[in-house]
Amino acid sequence: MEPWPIELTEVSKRYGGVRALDHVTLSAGPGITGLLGPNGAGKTTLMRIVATVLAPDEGSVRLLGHDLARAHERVEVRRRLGYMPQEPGFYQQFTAFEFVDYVAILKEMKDRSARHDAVRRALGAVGLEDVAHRKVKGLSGGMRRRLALAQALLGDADVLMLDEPTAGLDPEQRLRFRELVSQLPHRPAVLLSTHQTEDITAVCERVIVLAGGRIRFDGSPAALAETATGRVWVEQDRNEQAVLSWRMSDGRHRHIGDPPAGATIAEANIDDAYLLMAGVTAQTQGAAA
Amino acid sequence: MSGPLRPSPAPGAVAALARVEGHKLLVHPYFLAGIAFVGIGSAIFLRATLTQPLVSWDDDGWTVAVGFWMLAMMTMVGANHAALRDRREHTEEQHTSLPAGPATKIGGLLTATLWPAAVTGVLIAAIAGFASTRGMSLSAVQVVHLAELTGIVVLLGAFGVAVAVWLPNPFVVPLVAIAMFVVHPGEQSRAWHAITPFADMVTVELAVWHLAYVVGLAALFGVGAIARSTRTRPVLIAGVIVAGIVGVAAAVLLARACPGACLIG
Amino acid sequence: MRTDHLRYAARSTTLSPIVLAASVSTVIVAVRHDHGSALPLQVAAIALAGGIGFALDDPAFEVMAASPTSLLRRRALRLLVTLPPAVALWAALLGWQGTEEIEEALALVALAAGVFGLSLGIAGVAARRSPHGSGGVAVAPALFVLLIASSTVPPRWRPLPLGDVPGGWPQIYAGWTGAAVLGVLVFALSSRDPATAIARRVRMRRGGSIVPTSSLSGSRPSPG
Repeated sequence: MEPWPIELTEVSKRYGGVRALDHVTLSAGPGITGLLGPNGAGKTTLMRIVATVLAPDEGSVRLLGHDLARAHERVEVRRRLGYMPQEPGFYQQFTAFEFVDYVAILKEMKDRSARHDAVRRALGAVGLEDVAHRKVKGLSGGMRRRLALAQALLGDADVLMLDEPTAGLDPEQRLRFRELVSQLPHRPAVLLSTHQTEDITAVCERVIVLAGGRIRFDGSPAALAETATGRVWVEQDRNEQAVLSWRMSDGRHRHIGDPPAGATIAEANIDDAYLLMAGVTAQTQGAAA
Repeated sequence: MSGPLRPSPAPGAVAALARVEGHKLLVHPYFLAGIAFVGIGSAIFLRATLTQPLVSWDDDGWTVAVGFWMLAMMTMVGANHAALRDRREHTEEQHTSLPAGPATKIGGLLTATLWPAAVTGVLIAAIAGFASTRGMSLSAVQVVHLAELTGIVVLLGAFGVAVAVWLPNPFVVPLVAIAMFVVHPGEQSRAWHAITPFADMVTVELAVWHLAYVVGLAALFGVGAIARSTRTRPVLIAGVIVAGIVGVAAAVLLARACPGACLIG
Repeated sequence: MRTDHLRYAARSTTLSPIVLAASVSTVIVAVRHDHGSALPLQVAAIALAGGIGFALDDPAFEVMAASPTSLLRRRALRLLVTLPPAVALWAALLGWQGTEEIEEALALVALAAGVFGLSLGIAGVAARRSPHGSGGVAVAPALFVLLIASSTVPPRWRPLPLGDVPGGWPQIYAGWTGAAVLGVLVFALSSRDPATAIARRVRMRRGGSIVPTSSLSGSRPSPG
């Protein structure tokens, strides 16, 4: 049986007294898996561990059948891995082309002309071909995000780790990103960490909700939306019994939680389900504390 | 003449910032390392007062002074580190939109150097008080010298801030500190040694002039740091006044303290 | 590829502190070079070591960390473009200043090696702990604290002596050689792959069966 491209078993990570990941076990195959969760849920820690940048305190991680605990297997994985960090750093005096070319060299792409072709392809894929020879310090915030994405796409990686890739992108670029990621020809295993539920709905075949360092949901986006079915209602005034409520543009209030008898049930979407899950988690943790 | 259109330091905001930055300076690892050196220098002296006969401030008090000089240099490095924080953490741009301009922040940092100086004053008073219980009274010139140590802490702190403002490279001030530590003026006194911060004077009058020189120089560095972002008339007038004080004090020290009348620490 | 790699490594390295240190060192030796003192060379070595500490700063550390090129190799390339010029400059300053006896020259070489080694060790650890991969800022202050701390013990027992000490140049030689070895060891340890700890921790916990993958709810697609 072919191994899962991404396999985590009982992975935990602590930062001082804070448990960022708590015995997380998951597997992900080819295709796009979305990682959703509130701030501090452990998404970036999980991404960094899978991207071989950080060691877990406990548990094991296997990528493309390789055990990340072994140095030589880790190097093999890195040859086939693309990683876009949440806060990528840049060399300001490099041009966009030089930056991606440097990453290509570190990815051990030896042939110069093939490497340059790959760099041009990656820059073209994210729409930066026109500014390839502009210095990084002269690029806008959105362009820098795309530059970080370009270096991750280099060399047709088999595993792509994308941490908040659409943050700071304009709507057109966001659509372009979705199209790009969902149409990658070699169908890599993509782990996409985001706050944008629209991204999840648009491109992910599967979504994992992380909160408090634990997996709260693992399934399809439609299944996630279903978890809120019957638990979303609309009222004129704010109902204090709701887990969460907010005012809509028509002046009425949308509530999630356990609806009162006779409430007007609304159709649930992935946002409702995610907020319900995150809200319940926060309440549970608050009660436990 | 007025410089860029930036508001002058707002007193309330400066005081609030000074409280925050002063507290940060006091718990900064560099300042704490300086306190450790003060502890070592003072312990050597205090131990001598307890175990040896004929101990005096003149012959044995230098270990205390050296400890505080190290503290002053560590304050300089710490203040420079704090003043470069925005640059290091890439928060310059987000702070640009705040109503308190850079002059307020610099004013806060400069005022914050009074916190280490206050700690220095308290420690010196405690050490001198203990020594007096062992029958070691201070001469007038020694009192001025000890008081001047607090001024040196403020002077080097202000220097650290001024360098951060004008030469925002994190390596400059540590390099100066190393040079100050390793390259001392030497055994033989020369006239210019009188205007180094650590020079000792042998008469009360010269010691007071040196104290005025140190305090004036600290103010000059402070005004110089603020002038980087705010060149309003009051700032420029203050600059001229403190430059005058420093110039006169330096001239007096150069003319009257040496040769032969100054001892270099 | 190597030429490109070296060129990019040079361009991504923070060079201004090294240039500043080189300038200051040259000026100090130029001003004091006829005094027959070892002190200018000692200051030059410390200044250059402080400058070298910035060579390991890597603002794009997070991006580069996932590449197959190891951290040690990435750092080694940065040092390849900074350490040889610094060493060459210091050697030239040593030749210019001159020494009275060979033991003094050897002791100064040991001192230079010692401060360079300490600088690498401190920078390596600080860069690893820094959120932006910038440890250079900690090197010069740390060297400064070490030097002051060293000067607080009796001259004969100073671990990092400066100038003449009782016991002569061999005493200095031994102390600084030890510092060089220690610094390089710390640097090597700090340059381990950040994910290395996985091996150690997992080995400690091996022995039990692997916990099966679980889904709390919903379906899970097959690996295809």
